[in-house]
Amino acid sequence: MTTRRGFLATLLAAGAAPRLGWAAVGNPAYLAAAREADGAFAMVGLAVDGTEAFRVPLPARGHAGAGHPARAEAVAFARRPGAHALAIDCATGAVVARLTPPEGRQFNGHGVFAEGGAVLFTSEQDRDTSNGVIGLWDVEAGYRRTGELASHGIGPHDLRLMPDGRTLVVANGGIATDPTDRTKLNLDSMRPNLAYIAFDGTLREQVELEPDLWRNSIRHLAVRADGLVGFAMQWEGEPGAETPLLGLHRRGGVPLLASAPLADELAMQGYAGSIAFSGSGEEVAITSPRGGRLHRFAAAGGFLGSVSRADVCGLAALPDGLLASDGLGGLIAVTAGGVRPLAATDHAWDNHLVRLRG
Amino acid sequence: MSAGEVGNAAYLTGDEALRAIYTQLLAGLEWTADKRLGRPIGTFDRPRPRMAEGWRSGRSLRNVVLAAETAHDLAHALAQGLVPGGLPRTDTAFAQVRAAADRITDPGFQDIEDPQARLRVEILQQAVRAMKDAIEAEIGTSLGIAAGFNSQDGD
Repeated sequence: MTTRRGFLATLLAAGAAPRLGWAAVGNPAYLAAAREADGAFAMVGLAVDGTEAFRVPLPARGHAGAGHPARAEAVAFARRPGAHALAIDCATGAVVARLTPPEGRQFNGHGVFAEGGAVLFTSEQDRDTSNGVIGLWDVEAGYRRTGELASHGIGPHDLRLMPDGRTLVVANGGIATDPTDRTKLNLDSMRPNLAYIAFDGTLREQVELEPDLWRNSIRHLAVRADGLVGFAMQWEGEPGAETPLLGLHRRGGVPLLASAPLADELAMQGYAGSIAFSGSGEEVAITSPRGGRLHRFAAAGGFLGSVSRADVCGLAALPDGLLASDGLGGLIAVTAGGVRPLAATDHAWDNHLVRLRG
Repeated sequence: MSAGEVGNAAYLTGDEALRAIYTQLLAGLEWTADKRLGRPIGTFDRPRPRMAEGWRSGRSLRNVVLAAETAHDLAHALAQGLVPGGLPRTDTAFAQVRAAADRITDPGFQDIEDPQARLRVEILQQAVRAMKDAIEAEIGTSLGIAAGFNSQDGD
């Protein structure tokens, strides 16, 4: 039955979203930043079989993106220290809005839509102190900056929306950096944490590791539909340490740290660049472009095996496993049936594959 | 051999295997410049002779020369049949590495606190970096290959 209220709501929604949906751009399942063969940079939409759905040019190397939940619109973040992000209409390639952080703030490479796409949250830091900030942007008002929250840590990097749709989980990497480049300033005193933050800024929960792992920077996140959070770390201590690079946490619980057997763990070179749960949620994987490896774990933390692939970094769920991308242009499906190359492209895929619509 | 076939995701094309070797080649020279030479060089106010690799056995300089020789051989092996006209720039750069090494008096870099000796090690370091640049220009550019995109980004 069409009620007056329902009708008005439809009308408003239609008016607020005049642009095309994802179906109009080939129903991509993933977003990835890339460098093309001629040296130009682009954001590419990929279908679930690894084929290209769309490609729009970017002015500089991208790091990660955020896809609008309904419209064919994506925000591409520059690499740290980011001075801007671009909201792009993926059907036309037009820049819908240019997001510039307020004076004294810089983007840290990740962002996430919430409230059905009405709000964008961005990870940022204070230019001078590296204190973490979550920026709030009103999407319908043309990506207008409306406020900010404390990230409750230094140098936040990845952030995700929890399944309740009302809480953010933030990886506060703990590393203070020079305002002009990425020189690390506080490796002796760094203290990363995982923070759960309500949209009003209330800190719901904060997780820290034992002091001997404070030099393990918590940087990237994956969230399973039931609220299990996976976090990937990067070791900033002496090289050659066999520190765990994967953590799993459930609200209210103690974090579970997962390692591979010694030789495999050492081969990761203390570095995990991306993390994702598999399509079924039964597995979680991390990648190390430095080690040229992907490590698979059961969601309970047990090591399942490794895949060797030079410069592998991007990682996202496939319906029956995981999709990995690399700097050589490869897209690889990692499933129970084995490792299957999906495509060898001439793009150098950048650090992250972002799954669209969950 | 099986590049791109089912089950082999290590290398999707033969070109990728080439790139992996190329990345190792450049990384090796970079390591020699940054660590084998950069560590003892330290800063002007604080050279660190004890950070030289193998200084007790006086092998520091020899290791640098051997690393450059190996890189030179590997570069030629990589370029064989692929880069027409050989590697003249790389050959010249390698000869300069040798010449710079011959001028160094202490094979363990233990005289690096002396400004003249320090300068000679710095010149060797520049020659190693120039050799890396030459290989990049002659092999990388002509084959259209670039070294690791993500592994060197670090984020």
